[in-house]
Amino acid sequence: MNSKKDLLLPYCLAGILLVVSVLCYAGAAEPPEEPVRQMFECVAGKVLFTHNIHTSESGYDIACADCHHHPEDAEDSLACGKCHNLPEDGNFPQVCSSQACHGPDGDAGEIEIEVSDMVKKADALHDQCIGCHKENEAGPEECASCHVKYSF
Amino acid sequence: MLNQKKFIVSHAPFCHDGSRISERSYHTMFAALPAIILGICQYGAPAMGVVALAISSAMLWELAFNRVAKQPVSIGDGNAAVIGLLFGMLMPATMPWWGVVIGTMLAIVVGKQIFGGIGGNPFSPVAVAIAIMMLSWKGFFDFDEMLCSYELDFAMIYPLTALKNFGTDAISAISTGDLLMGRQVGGIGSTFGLGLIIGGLYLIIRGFIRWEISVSFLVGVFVTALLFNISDSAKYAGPVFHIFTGYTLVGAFFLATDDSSSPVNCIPMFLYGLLGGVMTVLIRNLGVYADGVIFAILVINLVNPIFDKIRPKALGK
Repeated sequence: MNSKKDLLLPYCLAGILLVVSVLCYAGAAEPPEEPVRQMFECVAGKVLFTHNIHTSESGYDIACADCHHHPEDAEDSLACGKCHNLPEDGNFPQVCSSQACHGPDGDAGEIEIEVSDMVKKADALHDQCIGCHKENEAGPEECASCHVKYSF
Repeated sequence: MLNQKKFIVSHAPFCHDGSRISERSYHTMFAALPAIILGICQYGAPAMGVVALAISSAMLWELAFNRVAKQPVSIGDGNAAVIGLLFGMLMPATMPWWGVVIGTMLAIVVGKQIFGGIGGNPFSPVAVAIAIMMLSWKGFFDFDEMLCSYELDFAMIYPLTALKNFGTDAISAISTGDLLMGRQVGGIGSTFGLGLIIGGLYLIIRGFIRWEISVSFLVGVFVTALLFNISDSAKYAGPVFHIFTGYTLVGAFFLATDDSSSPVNCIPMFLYGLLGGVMTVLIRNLGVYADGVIFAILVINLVNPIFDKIRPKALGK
């Protein structure tokens, strides 16, 4: 099986498939702007959040602003981690300063909030998720109902 | 009685029946096609890219090793292509290109070539590569995370992880029909139960793999899962669920039957397959991994030489 004629097929196969793979990878679509599902990385174990089920009309039909509550008049929803993620230098996150709501030195600016009032991401998500589940008496409330111990 | 002909061997020259290693390789690839095609239909171009890159990079790694080791070029036998294809089948559709390239390097170089090439590997090269990848980049095998941008018309949760973390209630929406028809989250070519069974039966009927290994592997999974299910049906899923989820069918028909890492005699084959099935469910139900097929296959590969000690009695002794 070592003659040049016999090796022609494998060489061609490898070459063609390599080209196909490059085209497929290069042409791969970007993830959708609005997430379908999100995997939150946590110390207590990952959490798979079904964003699509929570927002779709056939699902829970929750309005964007119900969760993405800040800023109230924003056209595009800010991801939770954009604000609930305080830098170690004690200032507001970059996204807050860049939107001219809060000053670079932690000055509250036009919005009446202090850096110390900002809830950490884990607490914000827990409050949001568990609070909503309790309020609607639907959805999990226990830790082990969302956080997975074994992820693969 | 003395004239009874039992075994006739003619004298040389002998003629070759035309069969080659490449024939086996291409038939194996053909058998895997139904499962892969469904995966590509579900996940689209990214899945196609992963499978194509896995096959081509496996062949190129083999070629590179041949050149470095100054060996005759061996990609013509199709074995590297089969290894690449099987590796691609087990990957999620969103596997990054460098993960595929490293994985096929592990399979071809570490899993096969350093043991002397085809026929010399004590472990299934694909299982070796997947195991190393699982331990090195476990996020790649978290199918829930890797496929979180896909929205298909079935329950988009990886059944084995859901079962492991939340018990049988979490998988109540997944029917056996769904699992059989590939309506489940998983590797590109490892979810279509019916396609894998058809491919496996094709290989068995054509004589490329031994039915003893595949059947005993599945029996091992079935019996062990049944015992667990009887003991606690809220925590442990039934045997049919375990057979049609994860890598079970790929393992039974394509990985455990690897030539050089499986036994050659009948009883050892049964024991080998049975142990693989039992280990799979033990790891799934008692271990820390949601799917235990890859590690179970490595374990049975490891004990294969011991099973091979069980031999038929020599004539006249």
